Amino acid sequence: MAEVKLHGRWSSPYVYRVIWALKLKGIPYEYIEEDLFNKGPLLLQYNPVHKKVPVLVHGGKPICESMIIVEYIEQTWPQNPLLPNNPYERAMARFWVKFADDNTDKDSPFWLLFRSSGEKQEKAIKESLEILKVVEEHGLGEKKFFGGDKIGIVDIAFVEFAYWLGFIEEIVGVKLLDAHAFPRLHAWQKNLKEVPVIKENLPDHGEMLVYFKWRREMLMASQ
Amino acid sequence: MAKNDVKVLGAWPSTFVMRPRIALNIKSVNYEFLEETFGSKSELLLQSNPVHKKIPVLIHGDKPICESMIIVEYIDEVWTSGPSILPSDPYDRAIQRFWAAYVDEKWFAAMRGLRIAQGEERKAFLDQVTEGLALLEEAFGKCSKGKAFFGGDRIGLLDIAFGSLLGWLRVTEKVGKVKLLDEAKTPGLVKWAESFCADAAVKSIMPETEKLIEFSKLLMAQMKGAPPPKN
Repeated sequence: MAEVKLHGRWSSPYVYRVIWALKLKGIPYEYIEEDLFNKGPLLLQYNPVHKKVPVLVHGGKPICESMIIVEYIEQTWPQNPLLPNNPYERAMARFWVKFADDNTDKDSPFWLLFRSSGEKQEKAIKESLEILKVVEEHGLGEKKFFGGDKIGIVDIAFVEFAYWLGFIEEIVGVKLLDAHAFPRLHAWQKNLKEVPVIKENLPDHGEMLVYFKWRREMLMASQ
Repeated sequence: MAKNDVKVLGAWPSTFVMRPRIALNIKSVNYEFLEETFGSKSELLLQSNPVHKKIPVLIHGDKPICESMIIVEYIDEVWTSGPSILPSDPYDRAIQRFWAAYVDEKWFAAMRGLRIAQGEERKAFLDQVTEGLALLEEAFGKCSKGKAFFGGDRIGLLDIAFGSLLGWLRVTEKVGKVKLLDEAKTPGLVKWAESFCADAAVKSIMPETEKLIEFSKLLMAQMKGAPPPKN
Protein backbone atom coordinates (compact mmCIF):
# COMPACT_ATOMS: atom_id res chain seq x y z
CA MET A 1 0.00 0.00 0.00
CA ALA A 2 1.27 3.48 -0.85
CA GLU A 3 2.39 5.65 2.06
CA VAL A 4 -0.20 7.67 3.94
CA LYS A 5 0.82 10.86 5.74
CA LEU A 6 -1.32 13.34 7.63
CA HIS A 7 -0.23 16.92 8.18
CA GLY A 8 -2.08 18.32 11.17
CA ARG A 9 -2.19 20.35 14.34
CA TRP A 10 -2.77 18.73 17.74
CA SER A 11 -5.72 20.96 18.67
CA SER A 12 -7.61 21.07 15.36
CA PRO A 13 -11.06 19.47 15.16
CA TYR A 14 -10.72 19.26 11.37
CA VAL A 15 -7.59 17.15 11.74
CA TYR A 16 -9.43 14.83 14.11
CA ARG A 17 -12.12 14.20 11.51
CA VAL A 18 -9.41 12.66 9.35
CA ILE A 19 -7.74 10.81 12.26
CA TRP A 20 -11.07 9.21 13.21
CA ALA A 21 -11.76 8.12 9.62
CA LEU A 22 -8.28 6.57 9.31
CA LYS A 23 -8.49 4.85 12.70
CA LEU A 24 -12.03 3.53 12.14
CA LYS A 25 -10.80 1.86 8.95
CA GLY A 26 -7.54 0.67 10.47
CA ILE A 27 -5.31 2.56 8.02
CA PRO A 28 -1.73 3.09 9.19
CA TYR A 29 -0.34 6.59 8.64
CA GLU A 30 2.49 8.90 9.59
CA TYR A 31 1.48 12.05 11.46
CA ILE A 32 3.33 15.32 10.90
CA GLU A 33 2.64 18.18 13.33
CA GLU A 34 2.52 21.60 11.65
CA ASP A 35 3.23 24.86 13.44
CA LEU A 36 0.69 27.32 12.09
CA PHE A 37 2.83 30.32 12.99
CA ASN A 38 5.71 28.80 11.09
CA LYS A 39 4.21 26.72 8.27
CA GLY A 40 6.49 24.14 6.75
CA PRO A 41 7.37 24.43 3.05
CA LEU A 42 5.72 21.06 2.36
CA LEU A 43 2.38 22.28 3.70
CA LEU A 44 2.53 25.39 1.53
CA GLN A 45 3.38 23.22 -1.45
CA TYR A 46 0.55 20.75 -0.76
CA ASN A 47 -2.12 23.32 0.04
CA PRO A 48 -1.18 26.52 -1.78
CA VAL A 49 -4.78 27.73 -1.98
CA HIS A 50 -5.74 27.61 1.70
CA LYS A 51 -2.38 26.90 3.44
CA LYS A 52 -4.23 24.91 6.09
CA VAL A 53 -4.32 21.58 7.85
CA PRO A 54 -5.39 18.83 7.54
CA VAL A 55 -3.68 17.64 4.39
CA LEU A 56 -3.63 13.93 3.61
CA VAL A 57 -0.80 12.80 1.38
CA HIS A 58 -1.33 9.40 -0.24
CA GLY A 59 1.48 8.06 -2.42
CA GLY A 60 2.83 11.61 -2.68
CA LYS A 61 -0.50 13.15 -3.78
CA PRO A 62 -2.05 15.76 -1.47
CA ILE A 63 -5.76 15.96 -0.66
CA CYS A 64 -7.13 19.01 1.20
CA GLU A 65 -10.31 19.97 3.09
CA SER A 66 -11.25 17.63 5.93
CA MET A 67 -14.57 16.22 4.68
CA ILE A 68 -13.24 15.88 1.12
CA ILE A 69 -10.37 13.89 2.64
CA VAL A 70 -12.87 11.72 4.55
CA GLU A 71 -14.82 11.01 1.33
CA TYR A 72 -11.50 10.13 -0.35
CA ILE A 73 -10.66 7.74 2.48
CA GLU A 74 -14.15 6.21 2.25
CA GLN A 75 -13.80 5.56 -1.48
CA THR A 76 -10.20 4.32 -1.36
CA TRP A 77 -10.59 2.02 1.67
CA PRO A 78 -14.16 0.66 1.62
CA GLN A 79 -13.89 -1.48 4.80
CA ASN A 80 -16.03 -0.31 7.76
CA PRO A 81 -18.08 2.04 5.57
CA LEU A 82 -18.81 5.51 6.88
CA LEU A 83 -21.54 6.24 4.31
CA PRO A 84 -24.82 4.34 3.91
CA ASN A 85 -25.35 2.07 0.91
CA ASN A 86 -28.31 3.63 -0.84
CA PRO A 87 -28.14 6.92 -2.76
CA TYR A 88 -30.96 8.66 -0.88
CA GLU A 89 -29.47 7.99 2.54
CA ARG A 90 -26.06 9.00 1.22
CA ALA A 91 -27.56 12.31 0.07
CA MET A 92 -29.12 12.79 3.53
CA ALA A 93 -25.76 12.08 5.18
CA ARG A 94 -23.99 14.54 2.88
CA PHE A 95 -26.66 17.14 3.65
CA TRP A 96 -25.79 16.95 7.35
CA VAL A 97 -22.06 16.89 6.65
CA LYS A 98 -22.50 20.18 4.78
CA PHE A 99 -24.68 21.52 7.59
CA ALA A 100 -21.92 20.70 10.09
CA ASP A 101 -19.30 22.36 7.88
CA ASP A 102 -21.41 25.49 7.36
CA ASN A 103 -22.54 25.88 10.98
CA THR A 104 -19.59 24.92 13.16
CA ASP A 105 -16.69 26.62 11.36
CA LYS A 106 -14.62 29.51 12.74
CA ASP A 107 -17.20 32.08 11.61
CA SER A 108 -20.08 30.20 13.24
CA PRO A 109 -21.95 31.53 16.29
CA PHE A 110 -20.16 28.93 18.48
CA TRP A 111 -16.76 30.46 17.80
CA LEU A 112 -18.16 33.99 17.66
CA LEU A 113 -19.37 33.64 21.22
CA PHE A 114 -15.88 32.49 22.20
CA ARG A 115 -14.33 35.55 20.56
CA SER A 116 -16.77 38.15 21.90
CA SER A 117 -18.50 39.55 24.97
CA GLY A 118 -21.57 41.59 25.87
CA GLU A 119 -24.35 42.03 23.32
CA LYS A 120 -22.43 40.35 20.50
CA GLN A 121 -21.94 37.30 22.66
CA GLU A 122 -25.59 37.22 23.70
CA LYS A 123 -26.62 37.18 20.06
CA ALA A 124 -24.10 34.43 19.27
CA ILE A 125 -25.38 32.32 22.16
CA LYS A 126 -28.94 32.63 20.88
CA GLU A 127 -27.89 31.63 17.35
CA SER A 128 -25.84 28.69 18.66
CA LEU A 129 -28.86 27.35 20.52
CA GLU A 130 -30.96 27.62 17.35
CA ILE A 131 -28.42 25.55 15.44
CA LEU A 132 -28.34 22.90 18.17
CA LYS A 133 -32.13 22.74 18.05
CA VAL A 134 -32.15 22.08 14.30
CA VAL A 135 -29.55 19.33 14.65
CA GLU A 136 -31.33 17.72 17.61
CA GLU A 137 -34.71 17.67 15.91
CA HIS A 138 -33.98 17.21 12.23
CA GLY A 139 -30.52 15.68 12.16
CA LEU A 140 -30.20 13.21 14.98
CA GLY A 141 -33.83 12.38 15.71
CA GLU A 142 -34.21 9.12 17.63
CA LYS A 143 -30.93 7.56 16.52
CA LYS A 144 -28.04 6.74 18.84
CA PHE A 145 -25.50 8.07 16.35
CA PHE A 146 -26.08 10.13 13.21
CA GLY A 147 -24.95 7.00 11.37
CA GLY A 148 -27.56 4.85 13.16
CA ASP A 149 -26.24 2.10 15.44
CA LYS A 150 -22.66 2.78 14.40
CA ILE A 151 -20.66 5.94 13.87
CA GLY A 152 -20.82 7.31 10.35
CA ILE A 153 -19.61 10.25 8.33
CA VAL A 154 -22.05 12.68 9.96
CA ASP A 155 -20.82 11.83 13.47
CA ILE A 156 -17.32 12.58 12.22
CA ALA A 157 -18.50 15.85 10.68
CA PHE A 158 -19.97 17.02 13.99
CA VAL A 159 -16.55 16.71 15.63
CA GLU A 160 -16.87 20.20 17.15
CA PHE A 161 -19.96 19.23 19.12
CA ALA A 162 -18.32 16.02 20.27
CA TYR A 163 -15.47 17.62 22.20
CA TRP A 164 -14.45 21.16 21.24
CA LEU A 165 -17.75 22.76 22.22
CA GLY A 166 -17.17 21.59 25.79
CA PHE A 167 -14.05 23.75 26.01
CA ILE A 168 -15.83 26.80 24.63
CA GLU A 169 -18.53 26.24 27.25
CA GLU A 170 -16.09 25.77 30.10
CA ILE A 171 -13.82 28.74 29.36
CA VAL A 172 -16.63 31.18 28.53
CA GLY A 173 -18.80 29.88 31.38
CA VAL A 174 -21.97 29.13 29.45
CA LYS A 175 -23.69 25.74 29.04
CA LEU A 176 -25.08 25.29 25.55
CA LEU A 177 -25.41 21.54 25.01
CA ASP A 178 -27.53 21.09 28.10
CA ALA A 179 -29.02 17.66 28.94
CA HIS A 180 -32.50 19.12 29.51
CA ALA A 181 -32.68 21.30 26.41
CA PHE A 182 -30.98 18.80 24.08
CA PRO A 183 -31.37 15.32 25.59
CA ARG A 184 -30.58 13.41 22.39
CA LEU A 185 -27.50 15.43 21.40
CA HIS A 186 -26.28 15.30 24.97
CA ALA A 187 -26.62 11.50 24.99
CA TRP A 188 -24.91 11.36 21.57
CA GLN A 189 -21.96 13.34 22.89
CA LYS A 190 -21.57 10.91 25.79
CA ASN A 191 -22.00 7.79 23.62
CA LEU A 192 -19.53 9.02 21.02
CA LYS A 193 -16.79 9.59 23.56
CA GLU A 194 -17.25 6.03 24.85
CA VAL A 195 -16.49 4.45 21.46
CA PRO A 196 -12.93 3.11 21.90
CA VAL A 197 -11.52 4.58 18.65
CA ILE A 198 -12.86 8.02 19.59
CA LYS A 199 -11.93 7.81 23.27
CA GLU A 200 -8.35 6.91 22.40
CA ASN A 201 -8.08 9.65 19.78
CA LEU A 202 -8.86 12.97 21.38
CA PRO A 203 -6.44 15.79 22.20
CA ASP A 204 -5.36 15.87 25.85
CA HIS A 205 -8.03 17.45 28.05
CA GLY A 206 -5.60 19.38 30.26
CA GLU A 207 -3.64 20.76 27.33
CA MET A 208 -6.84 21.81 25.58
CA LEU A 209 -8.01 23.72 28.67
CA VAL A 210 -4.72 25.60 28.85
CA TYR A 211 -4.83 26.34 25.13
CA PHE A 212 -8.44 27.56 25.14
CA LYS A 213 -7.87 29.69 28.24
CA TRP A 214 -4.85 31.31 26.59
CA ARG A 215 -6.74 31.98 23.37
CA ARG A 216 -9.68 33.53 25.19
CA GLU A 217 -7.33 35.81 27.17
CA MET A 218 -5.57 36.91 23.98
CA LEU A 219 -8.89 37.64 22.26
CA MET A 220 -10.27 39.63 25.19
CA ALA A 221 -7.02 41.58 25.59
CA SER A 222 -7.06 42.66 21.95
CA GLN A 223 -10.57 44.14 22.24
CA MET B 1 -39.33 6.93 -16.08
CA ALA B 2 -42.57 8.93 -15.75
CA LYS B 3 -41.97 12.66 -15.96
CA ASN B 4 -43.75 13.47 -12.72
CA ASP B 5 -41.64 10.98 -10.80
CA VAL B 6 -38.80 13.52 -10.89
CA LYS B 7 -39.40 17.15 -10.00
CA VAL B 8 -37.06 20.08 -9.55
CA LEU B 9 -38.24 22.95 -7.35
CA GLY B 10 -36.48 26.09 -8.43
CA ALA B 11 -36.33 29.32 -10.37
CA TRP B 12 -34.88 30.03 -13.82
CA PRO B 13 -32.37 32.75 -12.79
CA SER B 14 -30.77 30.69 -10.03
CA THR B 15 -27.22 29.42 -10.44
CA PHE B 16 -27.81 26.66 -7.93
CA VAL B 17 -31.03 25.47 -9.57
CA MET B 18 -29.22 25.10 -12.93
CA ARG B 19 -26.96 22.47 -11.46
CA PRO B 20 -29.40 19.59 -10.94
CA ARG B 21 -31.10 20.49 -14.24
CA ILE B 22 -27.81 20.13 -16.12
CA ALA B 23 -27.15 16.82 -14.35
CA LEU B 24 -30.61 15.47 -15.26
CA ASN B 25 -30.10 16.58 -18.86
CA ILE B 26 -26.75 14.76 -18.98
CA LYS B 27 -28.54 11.61 -17.86
CA SER B 28 -31.47 12.21 -20.28
CA VAL B 29 -33.92 12.10 -17.38
CA ASN B 30 -37.29 13.77 -17.91
CA TYR B 31 -38.38 15.97 -15.03
CA GLU B 32 -41.03 18.47 -14.12
CA PHE B 33 -39.69 21.95 -13.38
CA LEU B 34 -41.78 23.59 -10.67
CA GLU B 35 -40.97 27.29 -10.53
CA GLU B 36 -41.22 29.19 -7.30
CA THR B 37 -42.85 32.63 -7.44
CA PHE B 38 -40.27 35.35 -6.84
CA GLY B 39 -40.61 36.78 -3.34
CA SER B 40 -42.52 33.89 -1.79
CA LYS B 41 -41.95 30.26 -0.81
CA SER B 42 -44.44 27.53 -1.69
CA GLU B 43 -45.84 25.03 0.82
CA LEU B 44 -44.09 22.28 -1.10
CA LEU B 45 -40.74 24.02 -0.73
CA LEU B 46 -41.21 24.62 2.99
CA GLN B 47 -42.17 20.97 3.49
CA SER B 48 -39.38 19.59 1.31
CA ASN B 49 -36.60 21.70 2.75
CA PRO B 50 -37.66 22.57 6.30
CA VAL B 51 -34.09 23.21 7.47
CA HIS B 52 -33.02 25.80 4.86
CA LYS B 53 -36.26 26.60 2.98
CA LYS B 54 -34.18 27.09 -0.19
CA ILE B 55 -34.15 26.04 -3.81
CA PRO B 56 -33.16 23.82 -5.53
CA VAL B 57 -34.90 20.75 -4.20
CA LEU B 58 -35.03 17.52 -6.19
CA ILE B 59 -38.10 15.44 -5.46
CA HIS B 60 -37.61 11.84 -6.60
CA GLY B 61 -40.72 9.78 -6.05
CA ASP B 62 -41.72 11.31 -2.74
CA LYS B 63 -38.19 11.88 -1.42
CA PRO B 64 -36.74 15.40 -1.28
CA ILE B 65 -33.01 15.94 -1.75
CA CYS B 66 -31.51 19.36 -0.98
CA GLU B 67 -28.26 21.30 -1.64
CA SER B 68 -27.34 21.68 -5.31
CA MET B 69 -24.03 19.78 -5.44
CA ILE B 70 -25.40 17.01 -3.21
CA ILE B 71 -28.32 16.67 -5.63
CA VAL B 72 -25.84 16.40 -8.53
CA GLU B 73 -23.96 13.59 -6.76
CA TYR B 74 -27.28 11.85 -6.01
CA ILE B 75 -28.30 12.07 -9.68
CA ASP B 76 -24.96 10.57 -10.68
CA GLU B 77 -25.37 7.67 -8.25
CA VAL B 78 -28.97 6.87 -9.17
CA TRP B 79 -28.90 7.09 -12.97
CA THR B 80 -25.88 4.93 -13.67
CA SER B 81 -26.77 4.10 -17.28
CA GLY B 82 -26.08 7.68 -18.36
CA PRO B 83 -22.60 9.27 -18.72
CA SER B 84 -20.74 9.65 -15.40
CA ILE B 85 -20.61 13.07 -13.80
CA LEU B 86 -18.04 12.32 -11.10
CA PRO B 87 -14.66 10.86 -12.09
CA SER B 88 -14.14 7.26 -11.01
CA ASP B 89 -10.62 7.83 -9.66
CA PRO B 90 -10.74 8.86 -5.97
CA TYR B 91 -7.97 11.44 -6.33
CA ASP B 92 -9.53 13.11 -9.38
CA ARG B 93 -12.83 13.10 -7.51
CA ALA B 94 -11.22 14.84 -4.52
CA ILE B 95 -9.67 17.50 -6.80
CA GLN B 96 -13.02 18.23 -8.49
CA ARG B 97 -14.79 18.44 -5.13
CA PHE B 98 -12.01 20.71 -3.81
CA TRP B 99 -12.45 23.24 -6.61
CA ALA B 100 -16.26 23.00 -6.53
CA ALA B 101 -16.08 23.88 -2.82
CA TYR B 102 -13.65 26.73 -3.58
CA VAL B 103 -16.04 28.14 -6.20
CA ASP B 104 -18.98 27.96 -3.81
CA GLU B 105 -17.28 29.16 -0.66
CA LYS B 106 -14.64 31.66 -1.72
CA TRP B 107 -15.18 32.71 -5.32
CA PHE B 108 -18.97 33.01 -5.25
CA ALA B 109 -18.79 35.31 -2.21
CA ALA B 110 -16.25 37.52 -4.00
CA MET B 111 -18.50 37.65 -7.11
CA ARG B 112 -21.49 38.64 -5.04
CA GLY B 113 -19.44 41.31 -3.30
CA LEU B 114 -18.26 42.63 -6.66
CA ARG B 115 -21.85 43.01 -7.91
CA ILE B 116 -22.98 45.00 -4.88
CA ALA B 117 -19.96 46.91 -3.53
CA GLN B 118 -18.75 50.41 -4.39
CA GLY B 119 -15.40 52.23 -4.45
CA GLU B 120 -12.45 50.77 -2.54
CA GLU B 121 -14.44 47.76 -1.37
CA ARG B 122 -15.36 46.99 -4.99
CA LYS B 123 -11.71 47.04 -6.04
CA ALA B 124 -10.87 44.55 -3.27
CA PHE B 125 -13.59 42.17 -4.47
CA LEU B 126 -12.44 42.56 -8.08
CA ASP B 127 -8.92 41.56 -7.04
CA GLN B 128 -10.28 38.48 -5.25
CA VAL B 129 -12.38 37.49 -8.27
CA THR B 130 -9.43 37.92 -10.64
CA GLU B 131 -7.07 35.94 -8.39
CA GLY B 132 -9.68 33.21 -8.16
CA LEU B 133 -9.98 33.04 -11.93
CA ALA B 134 -6.20 32.72 -12.24
CA LEU B 135 -6.31 29.75 -9.84
CA LEU B 136 -9.21 28.21 -11.76
CA GLU B 137 -7.36 28.70 -15.07
CA GLU B 138 -4.47 26.71 -13.63
CA ALA B 139 -6.83 24.06 -12.28
CA PHE B 140 -8.47 23.83 -15.69
CA GLY B 141 -5.12 23.09 -17.30
CA LYS B 142 -4.44 20.28 -14.84
CA CYS B 143 -7.95 18.75 -14.77
CA SER B 144 -8.83 18.93 -18.47
CA LYS B 145 -5.49 17.48 -19.67
CA GLY B 146 -5.99 19.18 -23.03
CA LYS B 147 -9.66 18.26 -23.39
CA ALA B 148 -12.67 20.61 -23.54
CA PHE B 149 -13.93 20.33 -19.96
CA PHE B 150 -12.69 20.06 -16.37
CA GLY B 151 -14.25 16.60 -16.58
CA GLY B 152 -12.34 15.72 -19.77
CA ASP B 153 -14.30 14.92 -22.92
CA ARG B 154 -17.63 15.50 -21.18
CA ILE B 155 -19.06 17.87 -18.60
CA GLY B 156 -18.30 16.74 -15.05
CA LEU B 157 -18.90 17.83 -11.47
CA LEU B 158 -16.63 20.87 -11.52
CA ASP B 159 -17.90 22.03 -14.93
CA ILE B 160 -21.41 22.03 -13.47
CA ALA B 161 -20.36 23.80 -10.26
CA PHE B 162 -18.42 26.56 -11.99
CA GLY B 163 -20.26 26.74 -15.32
CA SER B 164 -23.58 27.42 -13.65
CA LEU B 165 -22.14 30.78 -12.55
CA LEU B 166 -21.37 31.92 -16.11
CA GLY B 167 -24.74 33.62 -16.59
CA TRP B 168 -24.20 35.94 -13.64
CA LEU B 169 -20.52 36.35 -14.52
CA ARG B 170 -21.60 37.82 -17.87
CA VAL B 171 -24.07 40.12 -16.07
CA THR B 172 -21.26 41.41 -13.87
CA GLU B 173 -19.04 41.98 -16.91
CA LYS B 174 -21.73 43.89 -18.77
CA VAL B 175 -23.23 45.94 -15.94
CA GLY B 176 -19.92 46.47 -14.13
CA LYS B 177 -18.12 47.22 -17.41
CA VAL B 178 -15.30 44.87 -16.48
CA LYS B 179 -13.71 41.98 -18.33
CA LEU B 180 -13.39 38.93 -16.09
CA LEU B 181 -12.82 36.09 -18.53
CA ASP B 182 -10.02 37.40 -20.70
CA GLU B 183 -8.34 35.79 -23.76
CA ALA B 184 -4.99 37.11 -22.56
CA LYS B 185 -5.18 36.07 -18.90
CA THR B 186 -7.55 33.09 -18.88
CA PRO B 187 -7.53 31.65 -22.40
CA GLY B 188 -8.38 28.15 -21.25
CA LEU B 189 -11.43 29.31 -19.33
CA VAL B 190 -12.63 31.50 -22.22
CA LYS B 191 -12.69 28.51 -24.53
CA TRP B 192 -14.15 26.30 -21.81
CA ALA B 193 -17.00 28.77 -21.19
CA GLU B 194 -17.94 28.66 -24.88
CA SER B 195 -17.91 24.85 -24.91
CA PHE B 196 -19.90 24.67 -21.70
CA CYS B 197 -22.63 27.07 -22.81
CA ALA B 198 -22.90 25.34 -26.20
CA ASP B 199 -23.29 21.88 -24.67
CA ALA B 200 -26.65 20.18 -25.25
CA ALA B 201 -27.20 19.68 -21.52
CA VAL B 202 -26.71 23.39 -20.83
CA LYS B 203 -27.86 25.37 -23.88
CA SER B 204 -31.61 25.30 -23.27
CA ILE B 205 -31.40 26.28 -19.61
CA MET B 206 -28.56 28.84 -19.45
CA PRO B 207 -30.41 32.14 -18.94
CA GLU B 208 -29.80 34.95 -21.44
CA THR B 209 -27.66 37.77 -20.08
CA GLU B 210 -30.28 40.44 -20.91
CA LYS B 211 -33.01 38.56 -19.05
CA LEU B 212 -30.71 38.17 -16.03
CA ILE B 213 -29.90 41.89 -16.09
CA GLU B 214 -33.65 42.67 -16.01
CA PHE B 215 -34.08 40.22 -13.15
CA SER B 216 -31.17 41.70 -11.21
CA LYS B 217 -32.95 45.07 -11.26
CA LEU B 218 -35.92 43.37 -9.59
CA LEU B 219 -33.54 41.85 -7.02
CA MET B 220 -31.88 45.21 -6.28
CA ALA B 221 -35.28 46.82 -5.79
CA GLN B 222 -36.27 44.09 -3.37
CA MET B 223 -32.98 44.46 -1.48
CA LYS B 224 -33.45 48.22 -1.13
CA GLY B 225 -36.96 47.72 0.18
CA ALA B 226 -35.75 45.14 2.67
CA PRO B 227 -34.62 46.09 6.21
CA PRO B 228 -30.90 46.98 6.52
CA PRO B 229 -28.58 43.95 6.89
CA LYS B 230 -27.46 43.12 10.46
CA ASN B 231 -23.74 43.18 11.22
